[in-house]
Amino acid sequence: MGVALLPGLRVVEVAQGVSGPLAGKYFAALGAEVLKVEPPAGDWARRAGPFPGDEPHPEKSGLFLYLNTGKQGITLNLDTATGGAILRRLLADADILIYGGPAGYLEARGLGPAVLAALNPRLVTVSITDFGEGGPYRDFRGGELIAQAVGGVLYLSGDPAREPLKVGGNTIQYLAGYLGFTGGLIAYYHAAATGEGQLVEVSLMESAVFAHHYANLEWAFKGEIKRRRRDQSPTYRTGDGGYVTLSIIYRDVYWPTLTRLIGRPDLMDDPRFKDQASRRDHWPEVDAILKDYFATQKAEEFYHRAQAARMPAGYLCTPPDLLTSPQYRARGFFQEIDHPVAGRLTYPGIPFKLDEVGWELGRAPLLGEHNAAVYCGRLGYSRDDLTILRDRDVI
Amino acid sequence: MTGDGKLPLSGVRILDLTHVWAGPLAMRILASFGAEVIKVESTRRYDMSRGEAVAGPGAGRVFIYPNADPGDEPWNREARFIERNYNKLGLTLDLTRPAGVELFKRLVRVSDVVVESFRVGVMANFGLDYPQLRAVKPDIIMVSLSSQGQTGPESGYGSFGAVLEQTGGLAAITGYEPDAPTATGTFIPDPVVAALAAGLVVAALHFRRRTGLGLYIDLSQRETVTAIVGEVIMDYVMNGRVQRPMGNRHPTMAPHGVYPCAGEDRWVAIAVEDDAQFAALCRLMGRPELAEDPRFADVVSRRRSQDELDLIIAEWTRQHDHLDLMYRLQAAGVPAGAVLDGRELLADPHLKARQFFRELDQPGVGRYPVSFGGLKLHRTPAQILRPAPRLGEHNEYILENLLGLTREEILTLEGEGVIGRVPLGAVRREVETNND
Repeated sequence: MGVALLPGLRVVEVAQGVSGPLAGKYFAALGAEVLKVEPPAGDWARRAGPFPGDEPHPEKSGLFLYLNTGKQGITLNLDTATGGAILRRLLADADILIYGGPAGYLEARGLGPAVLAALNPRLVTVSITDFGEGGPYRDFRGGELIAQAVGGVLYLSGDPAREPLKVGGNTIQYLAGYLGFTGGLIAYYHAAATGEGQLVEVSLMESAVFAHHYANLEWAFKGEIKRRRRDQSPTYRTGDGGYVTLSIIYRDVYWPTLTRLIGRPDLMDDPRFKDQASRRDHWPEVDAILKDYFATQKAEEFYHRAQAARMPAGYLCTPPDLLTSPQYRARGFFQEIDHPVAGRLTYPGIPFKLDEVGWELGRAPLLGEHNAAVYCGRLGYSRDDLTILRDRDVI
Repeated sequence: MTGDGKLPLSGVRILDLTHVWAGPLAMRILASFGAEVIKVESTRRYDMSRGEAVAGPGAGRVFIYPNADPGDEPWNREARFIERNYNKLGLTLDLTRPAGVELFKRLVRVSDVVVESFRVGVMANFGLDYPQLRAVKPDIIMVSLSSQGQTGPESGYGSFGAVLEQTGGLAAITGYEPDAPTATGTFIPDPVVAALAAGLVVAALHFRRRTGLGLYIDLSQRETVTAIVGEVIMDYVMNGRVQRPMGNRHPTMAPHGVYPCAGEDRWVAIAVEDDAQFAALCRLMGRPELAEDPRFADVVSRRRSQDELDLIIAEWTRQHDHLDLMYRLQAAGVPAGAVLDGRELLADPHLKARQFFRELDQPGVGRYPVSFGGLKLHRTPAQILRPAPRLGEHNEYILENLLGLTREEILTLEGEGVIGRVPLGAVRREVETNND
């Protein structure tokens, strides 16, 4: 990579799991120097799967490998006073600290906002926690499902006749990671101009509320409770075993196109479907017609046909669909990355292109891979000192 | 706030051609941290979030108007539009007309960033793609937030959030049963794209500050969704395994679910991480013996017996209030969350303490709470600076102050329909949008 967006930016990442590491990954991809600080046992993502052949190995976790591309890695035990002192030295000339973990953790280790500001007034600290560094739920236990519950995502997701349905994967944690990336950049933009660093907070609960807004708006403006509903973006099984999703088709802008696409122009004259409100009122009938229709269709074929008619429709893509997608191939989205232990694997890339500049993923660090380079090369410890630090459980 | 009271992005001017959700939300974030964001629409084609020019039958139910009343100017009253666009200035310019394009280029000369989310090709049709903008202002930053990127065989396709969930790989792992993938119901790709896109603009501003160079960023919303299921892709790459929906369950935690509570449509989520938390849950249920029961004593057994376990837990939760359960479980160290609805979110003590919602005084509409939180910068907190713009509200202000047009010139533009404040009838507009 000849040019980069953020060269020379120094990021220290004290974060495990998904959110903080995702933010760090994007900084690294844009050319920042990201130093990942792991406890001696490693980021817990190293112990989470997927693993090749389902054989756990700290250097082979798909979650860890994906989220930590392009970083340098050291181990440091922040539960020791020596560990805390070393981190303070690393932060003295850093631009951004990404913290991800329990609220109050840094403060309890003598690394609270006031200490950090005295140490390095320009430092931007991005804290990504479950509930934030303050507020009555600060010390609640969280995680993906809990964030989706208290953030109002769950109430809107799923079948109205059943229990609320979790949005799959680690979606809110990823969203929080992107927010952390953005918040860190805004604060750094300020720090670079004024010399003033600050604390930037992102929480999973607030990220989950950020992830919708329908529920609060319906209540605030109309006094109505927004419920789960099926007509908003229904999914249909197709004859070839695939799935098609449509979106807000009851709206006037899409209904005529839909009736043409499914060969039912007669529906345009049907009084039950004469306007968008009545189409929503008669949703079960619309739903039944579509269910029958799609049972005779092929998913990907319908997707292309609908899109050609300028109707936003989707078909269900699983990982093999994505890895062989002509669109993804043309964009060069997937990247091959070699790793000394995990080997050469295909990774999802970065979802944007930068004209004339580039991004580069690099590989994830091995546990403690850069201990010697950082402790000896940068901080001036000797090899013998490293042995002491290792023996005393500092690294 | 800093000594000189400046927000981080003050002095940055952004021309915002995005519509619906992802782009407008991203630009609202930047506006809340001080950027001057000019939302550019036209009377022929305005942001679809504004809803309809003439409220059709039942519009009060389909759209979100105050008290379900579309009023005389429904396009200035939609809640989603207001929430996604406060803090911006509003300009109308018909970019299908040479006079509109010319004025836009003059604005580009005095701006830093142009962001758009049209269908691929629309900006080029206007004569406003990146090479043409760069010819006008060499260091302009341009960001395109399209459905699938500017290149590739499917680049001309459009989408809403629910479609992106399918085509990006999120729907494949969302659903009650392994063979029933489903859309989330919340169009979650939009806020995810917004969270990333806002940062990319700032990254480009850093780059320009350092190098003096502009930049073009071509984001794919579909790829952004795939990027948030990275481990699912890695599992396929490593093992050939296609992960399926697992409802509310977790691959290694049990119990992990959403349980019914007293009242209508009331639920509590419980996610037990370890044996100690399980024992605490059993004590609260008044069933301490379950923690020793061979069916549930260790996590592997619990995972195996989770159908049975879920029934036992539901029997207990059903008798209690969901908020009460959250507090009691959390006090005992068990991760639990009441499933909150819209009213409860607005009343939630934690969100209140963190000022997640703030009241916005929207002229002609009223005072309503809007989302404000998500990014808490302690020294330079986000601000509510102005309400969402009415269509064309700042035409005079922008054309006079930024471009130096005279009153007469502005009146002529208005007469020719290049600018305006009223949508051209109840236009059935062709869809050029990417999201809901």
